[in-house]
Amino acid sequence: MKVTLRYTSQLAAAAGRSEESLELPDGTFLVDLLENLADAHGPEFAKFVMSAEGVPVTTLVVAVNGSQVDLEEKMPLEAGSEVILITPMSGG
Amino acid sequence: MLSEEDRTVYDWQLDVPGLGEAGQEKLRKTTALVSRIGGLGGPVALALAAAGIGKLILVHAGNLRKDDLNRQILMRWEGLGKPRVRSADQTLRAFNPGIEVEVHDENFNEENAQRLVKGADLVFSCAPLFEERFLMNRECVRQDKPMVDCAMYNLDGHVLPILPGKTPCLACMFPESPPHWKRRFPVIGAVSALVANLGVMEGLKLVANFGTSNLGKMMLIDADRSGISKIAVNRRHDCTVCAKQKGTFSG
Repeated sequence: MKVTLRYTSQLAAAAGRSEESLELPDGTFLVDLLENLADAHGPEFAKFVMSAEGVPVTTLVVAVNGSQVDLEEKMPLEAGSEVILITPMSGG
Repeated sequence: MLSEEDRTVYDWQLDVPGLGEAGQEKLRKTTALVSRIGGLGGPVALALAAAGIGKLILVHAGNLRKDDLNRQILMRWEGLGKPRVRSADQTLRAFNPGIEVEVHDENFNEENAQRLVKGADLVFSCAPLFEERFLMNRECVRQDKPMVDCAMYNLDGHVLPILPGKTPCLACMFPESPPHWKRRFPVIGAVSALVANLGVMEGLKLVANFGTSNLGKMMLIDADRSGISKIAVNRRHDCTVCAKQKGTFSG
């Protein structure tokens, strides 16, 4: 199944892009996707996404299809989903 | 009741559906606290002044530097090396002498937080430090004051309107300071002004009760792709700041 990823601010800078599409196995869980992204995009990206304990960092906000999701829940993704990863911004 | 001067100055604004004289009167009776008044807070203050907010309380310590000038639109070249709030005061008074301006050459901190928020009806969080934003959030929740949090980085930004007890507060969204935050950030003035003006719109709509509410949503601004997304956001049931706040704001 295909999902679209969007990254904001420092995540986009670390990934070298603000958007990408990925082919994933049907029923991929969101938390597994986050782990894979952290591995794929390297430590500068990973530090905004996953903690050393292997769970999403508390400052990461993830929205799926326009709604924030609870990262403590094991949520399967659906085909065509848009996933936005938001890391705190504090420019002013 | 609007004065004849106000009816003249805000004449075209009174035609905005849902705003009218009643909404404009609400704006004229509103005091907005803006901290700080840099790349975000500067355009926030200017747009509020243009809209006819009754009073601005501006908070920002320190003197103007050259590298502020690509985005801090309340500032003037001749203000270099002098307190930023002085330039801001002069700019806003010259732009709209019909509003009241109060400035504080200090940053929002534990000592002044209660007093500053108490004097305001609406608060705009525009600081580059998470500690200041979290403090402002905490104080606004404590005093049940609406707050609009604005932030940006590079070509991205967010606007989060916060109604204590009703919507997620800043601590619901980010329960702790991000460990990898950097003080310096890439910024173009047009982007910070874009984010700021969207934030102002949320504040104006809240106070004057017109337009489409974005309470319960975070707006993400992408100035690279020229898009605005809105995501529905959630309160944390165990938020250490707002979980017990019921909220009484009614506009």
